[in-house]
Amino acid sequence: MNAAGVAVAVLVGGGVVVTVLAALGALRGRSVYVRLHYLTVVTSLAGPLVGLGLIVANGLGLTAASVLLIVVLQGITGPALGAAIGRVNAQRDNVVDAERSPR
Amino acid sequence: MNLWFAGCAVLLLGGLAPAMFLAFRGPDVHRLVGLQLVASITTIVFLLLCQGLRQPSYLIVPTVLVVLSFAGTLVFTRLLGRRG
Repeated sequence: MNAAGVAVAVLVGGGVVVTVLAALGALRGRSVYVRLHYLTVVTSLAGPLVGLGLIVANGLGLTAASVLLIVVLQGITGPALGAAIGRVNAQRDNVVDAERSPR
Repeated sequence: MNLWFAGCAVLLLGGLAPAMFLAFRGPDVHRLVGLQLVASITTIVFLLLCQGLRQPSYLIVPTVLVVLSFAGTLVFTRLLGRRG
């Protein structure tokens, strides 16, 4: 296994480990607000790690561009969804007023 | 089995199973976390599968999944949001 292969294994393996740990951590979370943090770990750290590993494995090209697009989209939408899910939970818990919350 | 399929297997068992458990239990608004976690982990599984099968044309599947899961979860948050 050459240096690139080792790098790919480390990146992909790291992404897989981070994902598993985040999922197990979310399972242990006591409240939904704590579990939301683990969601962002998957989209902002694990996804880019795996994506970077795939880019190194495939080299620059259309495949790498596709992987980059997927990872960037996931990284952008993940925190946005976390905020949306947090807001709807806060509305249910009467932490924020549903009438005053921005649409 | 190569690295890619091994990663898929680990993600399915260690990542997707807990996420699905989160999506199956609790109040409806709490399940949204599990729902989005399932979508995110499934996207990563698809990335690894595409590489393991050596079919880059299959990358359209995780691309569509990311977009649709974003829109779908937002629809759920909108429908489950409390109306004043």
